[in-house]
Parts: sequence; C-alpha cells; structure tokens
Amino acid sequence: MNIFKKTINFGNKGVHPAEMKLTSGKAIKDIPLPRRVEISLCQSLGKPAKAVVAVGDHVDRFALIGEAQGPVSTNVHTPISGIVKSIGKIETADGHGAEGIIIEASDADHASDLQSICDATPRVNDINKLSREDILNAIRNAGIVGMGGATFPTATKLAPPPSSPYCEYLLINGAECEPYLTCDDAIMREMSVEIITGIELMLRALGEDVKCIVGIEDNKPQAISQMTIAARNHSRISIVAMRTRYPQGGEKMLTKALVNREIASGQLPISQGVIIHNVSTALAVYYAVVWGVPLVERVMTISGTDFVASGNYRVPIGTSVKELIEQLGNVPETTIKIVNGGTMMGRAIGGLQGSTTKGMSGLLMLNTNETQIRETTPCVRCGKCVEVCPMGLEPYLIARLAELSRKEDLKAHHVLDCMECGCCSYSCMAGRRLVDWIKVGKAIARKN
Amino acid sequence: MEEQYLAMIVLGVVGLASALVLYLVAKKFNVKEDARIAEIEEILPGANCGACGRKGCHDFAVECCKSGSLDGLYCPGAGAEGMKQIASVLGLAAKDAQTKKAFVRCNGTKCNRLVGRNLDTIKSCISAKTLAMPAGYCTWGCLGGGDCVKACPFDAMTWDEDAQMPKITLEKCVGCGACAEACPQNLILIREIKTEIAPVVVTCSNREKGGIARKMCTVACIGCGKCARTCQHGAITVANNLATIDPEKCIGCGDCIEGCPTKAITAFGEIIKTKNITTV
Repeated sequence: MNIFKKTINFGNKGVHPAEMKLTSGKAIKDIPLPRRVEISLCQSLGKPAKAVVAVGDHVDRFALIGEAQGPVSTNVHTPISGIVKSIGKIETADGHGAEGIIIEASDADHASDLQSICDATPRVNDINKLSREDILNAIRNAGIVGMGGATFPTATKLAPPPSSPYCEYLLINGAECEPYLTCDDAIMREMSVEIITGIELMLRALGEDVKCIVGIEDNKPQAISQMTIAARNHSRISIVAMRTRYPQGGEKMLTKALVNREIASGQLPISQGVIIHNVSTALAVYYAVVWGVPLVERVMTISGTDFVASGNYRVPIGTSVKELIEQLGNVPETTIKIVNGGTMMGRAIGGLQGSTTKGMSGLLMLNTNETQIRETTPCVRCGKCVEVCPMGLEPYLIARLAELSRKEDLKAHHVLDCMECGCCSYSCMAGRRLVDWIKVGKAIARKN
Repeated sequence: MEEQYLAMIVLGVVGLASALVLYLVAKKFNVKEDARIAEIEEILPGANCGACGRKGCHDFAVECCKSGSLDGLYCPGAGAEGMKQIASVLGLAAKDAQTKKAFVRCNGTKCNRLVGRNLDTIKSCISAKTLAMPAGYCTWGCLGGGDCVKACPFDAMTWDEDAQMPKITLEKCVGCGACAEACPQNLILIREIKTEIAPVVVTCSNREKGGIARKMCTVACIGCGKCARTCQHGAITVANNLATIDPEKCIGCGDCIEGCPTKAITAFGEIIKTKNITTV
C-alpha cells in the first residue's frame, strides 16, 4: 500500500484491539436444515410480530408465520416446512424469553425442502424493469432488518419520510471492525456480485442520483479486491478502503470517514443526507428481490481459540444454539463465556438455550485468557477514556455520575449519545467498568 | 517595607468596601421567611426522600406553613409523633395517618433459588436486568444488585450477604417508597399497616405457571389457589398464577401462611393469633 496516500478514517479516536480474525479466509459452509426450529417473533426493534398461523397448521418453507405490527416491526418467515407445534413463550439466548413459534418437520417435509433447494430458480431476471415500489414491497414482505445487529427494518430505512432531508449517499458498511467476526468479510469475498446487485436494488429504491460508497477496512484485502471487481461496471458504486480502527462501523464514525460529515447529537444519519446499510443486508435484499426468498438464514461467525470447527456458517434462523454448536463440535472445556456478537459490543448469552435470530452475527467461545476481568482500582484521571471516546464524551465522569444516580447531570453530559462501543473500558488502565456504568446511566437518564 | 503596608492598606480598603456592598445588598434584598419554617425543618428528618410528594423537606415545611390545615400533608419520616409536634408549632389539629412499610415481594435467597447466576459485573440492578440470564433463572425476582439499599435514605435496608438479598428493618422503615422506585423489577410493595395486625405478604412475584415457577425457586408462588380457598375473609385473589392479598380485608390471622405448600406467604412482625408460625 502506498504510504503517502491519505488514509480514510473517522479521526484520531477509537482503539485498535487485537483483531483475532481466526476465521478470515475460511469459506462459508452450510448448516444442514434443522428438523425443529424455534423462531422468536421479536426479530426487530419495535413491536413483536403477530402470529398468523395456528397450532397444528402445516406451513411450507418460506411461508409467512408472523406479520409486522407497524413500521418498526418486521415479518417473520419459516426456514423449514413443517407442523406448527406451539405458539407462546420460547426461551431465548439471553434468558429473558420471548413470544415465538415452534415448527417441527416430518421426514416428507424435510425431503421436499432439500429438493426445493436444488430446484430453486431466480424470480426476476432483469432488475431494471422493477419499480421503486416493487423493490420496497419485496424487501418489506421478506422481513429484512439491519443485519449489523441493530435490527431496524430495512424497508422503513430505505423510504425516509418526505419531511427529512434529501438522501445523497447510500453508505454500505463493510468495516466489520469487531474482533473475531468475519461473516461480512466472507460474504464480500464469496458473494460480491450478489451484494453489488443488492446495492443496485437499494439505489433504485432510493432515487436516481444517489451515490453509493462501500467502506471496507484494509485488513480485508481480498474482500476489497473482490468487491472492486464486482463493482467495476457500476458507475454509482465506489469501493473505499479505510484504515482499520474500532469502532469504524458505527453510523456516525462511518459517515465521518466516508463523506466527512458529522451527525449532530440525537440526530439520524438522514439529517446529513446519508443512509447506512450493512453488506449482509444488501445480500438479503438481493435474495428477497431477485429470488423472492425471505430472510430465513444468515451468515454467522462461530469462533473461539479452542473451538475446533471455527468458521463462517450459513445458519437457518431459528436453529437451536445448542444443536448448532454441537453438530460442529462440542463446546471446548476451557470456554467460560459464550458471546453473541463481537467481543467489544456483543453480549454474553446465559447458556445454550434459545435459538438464532436475525441480528445474531456471531457466537464466540471465549476462554479465561480472552475474558480477563481486571481488578478495579481508583481512577487516576489519565484521560485515556476521553481521548479514545469516538463520541467525544467524558466516560470517567459519566460513569461516576451513574454510580451516584445523578439523572440531570447525566443528561447534561450527553450520556444518551454513548453508543456503548466499549473503547473507554478497553483503554482504562485502572480496569474500571466504565461502559457498564454508562449503560446504567443511560437507563437512569431514560427513566421518567 | 513600604510595599507591604501599601498592599495591606489596599486589600483592607477593598475588603471593607466589599463588606459594605454585601451588607447593603443583603439588607435590600432580604427575604423574610416565616420563622416557623425553620422550626418545622428541625422536626423533619431532612432526608429529602420525596415521600410527601414535595421536592424536599424545606418545600414540605413551606407548604405546612402556607396551608391552613394539615390535610394531605404527612411526613412518613417524622411519623405520627413528628406530625403532632408540627401541628403544635402551627397551632393546627394533627391528622391521623396510617403508617406504611416496605416489603420485598421476593424470597429468592441464595439457598431458595434452584438456578443461580454468577454475575461478574458491577453491582447494579439495572445492569443485572439487561444482562443474559441462564435457562431456568427466575427473571421476576430479586436481581441482587442492591439498588434499593443504596436508595434508602433512612438506613432501613441492609444487604444480607448470605442471602444475597436486601433485608428491611421494619422499625426504621417509614414507607417513603424510595426503594420501590429504585427497584427495576418492581418487587417492593409499600403497604399500609394497622397497629395491631401483623402484615401478611405474598413474598413472590413470579407469574410463570406453577410447574415452571417451582423449578426456579423453592418458595415460589405456584398459583394453586389454596390460600384463596383457605382465607375466610376473602382477602386473597389469584391472578396470572400469583396470589395477592388485599390489606383492607386481611386481619392477619395467618391461616394462609400455614396452608401455603411452598411457603410463599410470610407474616412480618408478631402474629396476634397464637399459632406456631415462624415470623421474619
């Protein structure tokens, strides 16, 4: 790489944790269709979907089982054919439980599903004939949500209200700045053409003169080259390599890095004429519009230093976490924590109960070395957390205010701007649990 | 030497001039406050707990002086005795008000819970609520973060290390409700208690079906309805797999405590009916 070239980055903030991309370069493998799925009806922000099937019904593969309730809710589909066994509370990976539907497949159902995978053909051959409404309806019906983890419905994001500023740029997030995770990297390497077609469909839905910039961190050279090749005939799409830095995938950081605009406190990216989507979402859009396949599977990174079968897997949504890990290889004995998502922002799961969801980008099995809990000592006011905070907050102060439950002061110090990236805790030399307390502070500030 | 004297003189003059300005301003903008406000504040506990519905003790004292009667003005911290003193300061009639106490509607101590949880996080209930819970862990009960203990302005709540639960000293509790507001699980019940009747409370908040609840905790309410059938005063109702006791109807006889198969009903204080019942 040319060292004199100006590096694209969101500024001199953030951290660079050990990348630990153990599964980079590994091909995506398919997880066989499960015989039993537990699908949560809460697959997005907003209201849970309403079940549209009854117990005992036979549902076909890709059938709609839950209907969206309002613009921030999403449709839910089944990845397998089978009989609806129960509708009600199911266990989730976080242990809190949610409304969900359990579907079980008979042998005949299973066989027909396998046949249908072989027989599948695209529904649309020429995407240029599709109108804006066709695309948006296909995305909405397919139940696509933001697959970076936020799970905001994609169709709602692609159709901003008329009162909002005009959208100039569609930014596609291929940063994948979280350690361990490589699922976006894997799809960019293997399915770049499909992703570019998905982006093209999103651009058609947004308008004629919207430009697209795909931001990929420079620790994924193969993904950058594959995406550049795939996008060479598309004048509206440009691929940009960014300097590796966490948390570059955050919407405000990505906007700063790619178009050098700053989103004001409490504002959405659309206020600066920017809409941001993940590469996985672009891929889901492609399958929904061109193949007519709803969002029933996603690529996940299942990784861990001691886990033998670390890799990128295409997992049907609703597969039991226990079955998923056990068919790849047992949970290593050294594992003391399993994290859903990346190590910086992901959350530990309570156990192997529950099933996969649309927003689950990875399952990481971490051992004692990787989950060290340091002893907390008093703050020495070194200012490291202030230096690294990408939102320009004062984490040491906010954390202390949260400990004292000082609601008004917390609001005055913009605690709600924190996106919980964890850079402050990562960089704290005193081992203080800064981001944990800031999360508490956010809850206090939101309380009425 | 001269410089020193000069400095002393200049500073002295500036100081005197400032003092004069301050004196004049204080005279000019002097706010005459009712002398009784200070007197009442002396009687009040000064915890600023907000149980009276005012911003703090000063606001309450001001309100007492302004209004002609003590209707709707009651400080649980000062109690009936304190209110009598306030009434005598103001020359008004003291109103009777019922004492309130806080009760934790959970008995999920470390030994009662069947599925525990190893929290290597900060000591905060709000944080504990958002984190993942293992399968079978009671999500309705006490999270063990101690937010209520931190919130109590009267030191009535203490942390029981062995039980991993808060413990309420009823003598100190004034029922201000600061703990109830702090509890993210909504476990703390503020109940009026009558002097001669021991309060009987369902110490469980689990709304799961009986079988599931029983697997989570040995003292969970399984919603069997035995207490509702036993109660001769119609004080107990069972809804959403959970029994609730109506304090208006309960006479504290303790029949339900004996009948409860999972020991999910507890009496606090002394039981008037002479029965061999363990009290907490």
